[in-house]
Amino acid sequence: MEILRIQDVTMSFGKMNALHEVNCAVEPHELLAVIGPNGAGKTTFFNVITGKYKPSRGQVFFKGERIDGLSRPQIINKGIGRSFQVVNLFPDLTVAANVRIGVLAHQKQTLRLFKNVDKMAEVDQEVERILDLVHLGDEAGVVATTLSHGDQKCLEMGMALTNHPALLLLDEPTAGMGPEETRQSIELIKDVWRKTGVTIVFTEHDLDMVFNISTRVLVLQSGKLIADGSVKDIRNNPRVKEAYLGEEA
Amino acid sequence: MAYVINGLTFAMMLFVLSAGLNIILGFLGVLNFAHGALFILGAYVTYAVTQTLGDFWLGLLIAPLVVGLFGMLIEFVFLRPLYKRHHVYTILLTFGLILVIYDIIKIIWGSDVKTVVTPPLLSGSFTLFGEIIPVASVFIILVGVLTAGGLWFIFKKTTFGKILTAISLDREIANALGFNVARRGTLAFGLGALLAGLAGVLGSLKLSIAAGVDAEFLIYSFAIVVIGGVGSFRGTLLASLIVGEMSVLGGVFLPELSMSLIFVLLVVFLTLYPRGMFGREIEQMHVPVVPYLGNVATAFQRLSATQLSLLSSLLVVALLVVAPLALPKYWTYLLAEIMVFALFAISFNVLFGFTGMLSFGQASIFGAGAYTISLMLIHVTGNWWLAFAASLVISTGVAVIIGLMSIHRSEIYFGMLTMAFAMLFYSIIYKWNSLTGGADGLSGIPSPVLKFGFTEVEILTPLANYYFILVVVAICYFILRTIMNSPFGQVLLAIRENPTRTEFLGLPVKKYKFIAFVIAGVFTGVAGALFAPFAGTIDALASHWSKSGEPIFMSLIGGISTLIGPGVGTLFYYVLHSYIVSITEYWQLVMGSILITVVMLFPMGITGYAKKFILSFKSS
Ligand SMILES: Nc1ncnc2c1ncn2[C@@H]1O[C@H](COP(=O)(O)OP(=O)(O)OP(=O)(O)O)[C@@H](O)[C@H]1O
Ligand SMILES: [Mg+2]
Repeated sequence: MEILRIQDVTMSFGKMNALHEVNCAVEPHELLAVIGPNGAGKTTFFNVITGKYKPSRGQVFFKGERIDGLSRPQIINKGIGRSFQVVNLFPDLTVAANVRIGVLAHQKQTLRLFKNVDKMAEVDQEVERILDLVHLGDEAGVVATTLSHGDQKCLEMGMALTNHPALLLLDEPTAGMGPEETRQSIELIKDVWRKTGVTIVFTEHDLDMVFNISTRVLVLQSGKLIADGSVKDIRNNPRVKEAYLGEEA
Repeated sequence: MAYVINGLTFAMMLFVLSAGLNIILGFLGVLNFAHGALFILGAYVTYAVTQTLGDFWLGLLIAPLVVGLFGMLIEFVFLRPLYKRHHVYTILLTFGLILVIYDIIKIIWGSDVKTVVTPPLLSGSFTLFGEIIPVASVFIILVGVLTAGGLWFIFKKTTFGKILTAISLDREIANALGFNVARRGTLAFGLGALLAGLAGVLGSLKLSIAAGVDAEFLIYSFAIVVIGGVGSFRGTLLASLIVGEMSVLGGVFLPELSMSLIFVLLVVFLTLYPRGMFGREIEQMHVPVVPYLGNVATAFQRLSATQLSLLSSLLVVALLVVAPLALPKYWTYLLAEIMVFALFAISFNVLFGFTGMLSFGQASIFGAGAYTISLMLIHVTGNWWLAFAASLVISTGVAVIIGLMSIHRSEIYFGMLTMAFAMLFYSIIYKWNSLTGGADGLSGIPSPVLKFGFTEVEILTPLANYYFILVVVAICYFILRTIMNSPFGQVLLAIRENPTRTEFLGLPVKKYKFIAFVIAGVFTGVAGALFAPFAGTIDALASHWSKSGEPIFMSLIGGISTLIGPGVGTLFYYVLHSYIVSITEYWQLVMGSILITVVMLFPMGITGYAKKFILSFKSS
């Protein structure tokens, strides 16, 4: 059964439709890319799924259950993790503490008032596991803002993994990275995908990378879903070419 | 009818004042607590001009200009560097300015009350429809109407006004379009201050001028701006009429309730219509309250680093145990008071420094604790345990109510809502004479009796009080310390740093904020319950919203990023205060300047810098 279904979703800001009657579905264990020129509505697509905004029209289903209209924490707790295009961390906390918040939330420990958080072995183990997964094991004690940009993006992903999501949404995981960092991140994403069996939906500007790793591609333009298909289909789709050329012109 | 005219006069004066406040809040996002002080400054300048040049009309011309220029100076020197920080810093800065302005006034004009001689043209009155109407009232109403017209013209017809509006709607775009946002900010603040000055001129016709009378005007202005709506002069005008008439007519026909009614209206608007009648919501971004620390102290923000180690904590307690043996008697008394207010400040800072919630309502909770225990001890029982339990229940109840109603709003709106509650609470305490003793408060509170099984101890002597307070405060401190070390405490830090991200980790932020508010409330209530029997008296001022400013001040001086910081700040404040008072009568000037300096240059506070120093020392 499909893990995510977007049904006739429209998201308007004033008169402008950031998403316009979008329909699509995601199957389990896909590595699905959402592409489109700047302002196409990719981030809005994620925001609507995770409850940052409630869609103006249409419905969102996760594992067959309707989730639009639920609060953000409720949606996340159904098993969705997300990272952000613009780095969105707890800037003054350490790397480990950043991940720990998510782990504590997932293990339902956050209402414990009299337990010393530094003496919770299970939590520490899990934090360690996640940091290792995103290759940040050595930076555990570093304040988040002092990490390199690339590492901050990895930390983002680590935080999104803390609730053992069935669906992971990554918004431009390689934005602002150099070529080498980008390559490493792609490896990381593939690695996580293989190891955890999570379904991943990600947005990306770098089309080579997209065509390289994704199992399927969605193309948005001005809020409309203009193509949905395999890498090969999308590569040869004239409308997609036009959309991208149009942007360059 | 005469009352209606009085109300209208008052309303127009409030309108001129509030329009200025509205410009400053709407354009710069600054909640200008010094607006009342600027108002009274305007009145004093009018007085001075009338006195020296013998002409009120020159005062009408000069006072607004002087105050306006002063406002521009303030904006340029003090406020401009603070816009990138959390709004608490601009608020605190304007708090500091109040103190400084009051003492400048005192230095120039002394502290006795002044009155402006009404010019012949405006003195006297005439009769209309059988009612006696003072000419001065007509003049004030006229100036109010002209001001409204002038503002309408400036903001609708001139490019300056249009650009200003555009900027206030979206700073970044305006910046990108190449408008000089910063310079226009100075002008906007100047215009706001000018209006405060003009209101001061009008006020000088009706009031006896003294620093402090402006406090009431300030809160009415806040109410008006919120009810009318930020960014809307139409709203401000209408709300001024409502508040002005309510306060004058209400004062005549419903003297017990009029003040409370205005604040009820304010609470209703803030909860249900935060845009007010015609306004818009203030644009605000989340900015963490603790300024970024840089990488000197890498480990600084590890949770344990926000606290003294267990060993040092015990050491502090041990020092406090022996202190009365070494210090003069007066200091025993003072230290006991310091501990009470340290607890007040520390529990405030659990909200502020650890969760990022700036509450102005803490004085109400403190007051609820203090009044309840006093009433219990006076009327019901001498047994401390019983009285204390009742006081805890009531103060926690007040915290629950304020919390439930306020946590739905964030940032500056949360601050304004808690402030509205504080005013409401104060107005109730103040007017409910039969229960609370009104302005005089309660005195002769009997000293409590502690019952342990068969023995009883009466807490009578200063020394007994001291140790009693020490025990309770120490217990509270260790409980708070444990809570802040817990997973829950960790979530609070997360909320402080980035509430949105916290939500996207699956944590319902409002729920945690509410729990934090109640926890802070419990300990604030304890502080109140300790204070009243110790002091022997309690009056309405203890729950005045401006009292909520004190823990903010102490937290900032001591350092908001550590648990003990506000305690250190309280100690520092008291010691410094008693020293300054002993050497100069202008202690407000000194304290205000210190506050301003700390806000601008040392936002990490004493313990923050100490910690930074120790950590960089360790790491090198
Ligand atoms: N909160 C909002 N209010 C108003 N407009 C918005 C809001 N969020 C997004 N938009 C608009 O919706 C459109 C789509 O934005 P979105 O951020 O989803 O695009 P994107 O595809 O992620 O772009 P990018 O590649 O630059 O990240 C843009 O025109 C944007 O300005
Ligand atoms: Mg985007």
